[in-house]
Amino acid sequence: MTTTNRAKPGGTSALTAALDAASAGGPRRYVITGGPSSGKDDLIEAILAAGIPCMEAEPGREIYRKHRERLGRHLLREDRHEYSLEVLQAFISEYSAHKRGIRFYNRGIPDGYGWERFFGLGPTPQLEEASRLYRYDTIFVLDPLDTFEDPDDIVWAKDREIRRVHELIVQGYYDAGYEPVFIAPDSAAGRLDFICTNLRLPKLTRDR
Amino acid sequence: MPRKSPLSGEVLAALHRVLRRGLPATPQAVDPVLLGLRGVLARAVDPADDGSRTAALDGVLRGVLARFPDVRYAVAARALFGLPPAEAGQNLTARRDVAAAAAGHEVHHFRKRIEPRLVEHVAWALLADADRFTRSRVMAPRLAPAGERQAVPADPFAWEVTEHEEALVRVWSAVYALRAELLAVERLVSLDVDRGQIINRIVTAAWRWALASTTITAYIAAFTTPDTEPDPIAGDRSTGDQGQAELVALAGWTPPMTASEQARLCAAAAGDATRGEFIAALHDEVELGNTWITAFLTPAKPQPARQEAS
Repeated sequence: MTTTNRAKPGGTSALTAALDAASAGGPRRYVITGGPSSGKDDLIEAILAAGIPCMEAEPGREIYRKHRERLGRHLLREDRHEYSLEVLQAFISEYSAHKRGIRFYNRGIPDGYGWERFFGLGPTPQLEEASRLYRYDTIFVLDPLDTFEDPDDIVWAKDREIRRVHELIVQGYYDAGYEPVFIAPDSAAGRLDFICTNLRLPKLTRDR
Repeated sequence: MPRKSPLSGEVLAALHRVLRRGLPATPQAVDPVLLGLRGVLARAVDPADDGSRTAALDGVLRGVLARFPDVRYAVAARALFGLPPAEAGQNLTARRDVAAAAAGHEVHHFRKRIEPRLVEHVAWALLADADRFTRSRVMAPRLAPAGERQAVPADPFAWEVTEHEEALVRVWSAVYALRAELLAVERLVSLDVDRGQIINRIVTAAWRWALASTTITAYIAAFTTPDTEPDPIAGDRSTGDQGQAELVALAGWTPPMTASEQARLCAAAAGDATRGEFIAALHDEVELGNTWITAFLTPAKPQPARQEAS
């Protein structure tokens, strides 16, 4: 039988104690990334529910909406650098604001490589510099939950593109000098347990 | 730049050469077959540069090894290529010792029986990865009944990808709509129906031509790369070396027009103009109208018999 221990900020669970202990030390930054349909939002929700400090919303979403609204149309080639620089700035601010203890990030600075490459653009000098300066401790890549194949073996153009996005994001982290940890498709709780084990944190779920 | 998919045997042989030195991959130790894989080209920051492609290949191999599906041999496969628990810079004999120990096999058995299977699996994974980046030439998206609602994740990448498919489908919708009108015109001409009825269709075809042209132009501006060299990463996003004129020509024959005439037709269809708006915008373009209409009403020359390929 499996039960779930929800650690709460200020609580007394083993996880809370571990987080408190970590908060006495320097910053430890962990990225959760992956292409669309990788289950990232569910995992972020599980991390937050466990009381683990985490960046809730990926800043790219709001910035994208804002650009769309301002332009009144789809982003064109020349708009995409401007968008990605604004997203980069948001990631740098998030990174710099964290001073102590553990924090998870909903995507990280090197995701920008995937964005640029997806549109056939080269990385900006700002992205290259930021990737050198602002380093994360561990990168967790969520492999896609969906194989994007239907029973008739048809892969939709959109789904094929999503898989390509995923691989380009992964390559961005290799380009930035990281060795990502890949997390196989699983429930959000299962994936969080995997992360906790990897980081030597107490697991959220236990077999009794 | 290579376009053809390499044979699995070529990839396997090239991978064995990488194995001799292990990772990280270096330009000296890497066969061009691997550097030409589509998945490698797609990930390279500069696909024209060997160093950049080598770095991309290194990333692809690390990704493949990190996700090695056979749990029993995953650590062994990684060690064999120089990833932990082996170390970069170790020779193959030392890496093989570590890998055999990780797999729980005697080293000679491992070298003869297990190692070839592991390398083969990595080669297969490289080819499968390349397949994901296959660049399809311009073709209409394949359709199939959807078993369930296709929700779009709230993610800028997903929004972009979805909007791309929307635009691509609109392109083909416009091209097929033009095709339908061109077929209708030729059928009515062949039936020798009332001239007014034919002209009505010919005008509709002009409107469809202009809509298709503007849709394709917008698609190319928003979604394709500017390079004249076909982009290996573009996949479905690319029109390859086909521009607006080549794509719209796929619908069928249309009268030859000057660039200025084409531009005036397109301008009349701007903003998804209705047929009525299109006609109103071209009210004073009598000569242009005649160019388009007369060409269809002129009897077509009989087609020469096709020569059989010898």
